[in-house]
Amino acid sequence: MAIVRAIALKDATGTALTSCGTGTAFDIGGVSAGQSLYAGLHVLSSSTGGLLVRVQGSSSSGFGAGKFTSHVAFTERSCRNGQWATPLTTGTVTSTFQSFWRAEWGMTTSGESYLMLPWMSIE
Amino acid sequence: MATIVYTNAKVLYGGHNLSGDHNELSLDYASEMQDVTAFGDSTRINTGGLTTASVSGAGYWNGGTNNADATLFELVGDDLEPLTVFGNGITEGAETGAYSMKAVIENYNLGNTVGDMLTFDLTAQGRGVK
Repeated sequence: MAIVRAIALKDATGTALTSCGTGTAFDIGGVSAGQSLYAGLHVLSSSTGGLLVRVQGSSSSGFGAGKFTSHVAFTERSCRNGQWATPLTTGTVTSTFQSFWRAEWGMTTSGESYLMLPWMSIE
Repeated sequence: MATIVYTNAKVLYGGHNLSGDHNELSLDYASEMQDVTAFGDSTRINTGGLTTASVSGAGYWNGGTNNADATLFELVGDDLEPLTVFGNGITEGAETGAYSMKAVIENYNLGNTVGDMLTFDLTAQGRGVK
């Protein structure tokens, strides 16, 4: 496969994020046998500190405490950057069937600001 | 039928949003055909081989720090950046016309004729998705 169909998990390309948070939970489906989970991150502006972004999965849209898993953790960045996560297969997405997915982001200090877009794909 | 008028494409390359610099953007996804025709066949028989992907774009030259020219000039030959294109804006949670690949910028060309806007075109080739 040379390219994947991407699903944006958070569109912060126009309005910068200035605090920690989570995105909307989307019912994208589970990673079935023979499929892989792909994820990427575009950090489109710089700030002092560090941006941490994760891709999380859960069996319910509520993402209750202890009921979700962080499958992808991008390397902390404070400057413009693109990252392509190592694809995960059913062998590495080891938790129970998870069809709901979201992005979570954190910042290492107060006063940070980032334009960014994380995406995922199951192919 | 979900058709669109092509006015709101987006292109993100690594840490750069180059959408506003482009007025042309296209994606090519293909499989290299392999000929497996043998004696006794009455037609040419092809089978799918390795898949390839590339993105080509064009737009107006835009100088200055972090603008398209500085970005693209420095990234020719770079093979570390994901390239993501959106055919009709960005919609969270939707798998509609958005594609991403590991990419290397193959060429970045500038020029035009006297009196016209200085423009650029580029081609980025895929490097797989693993």
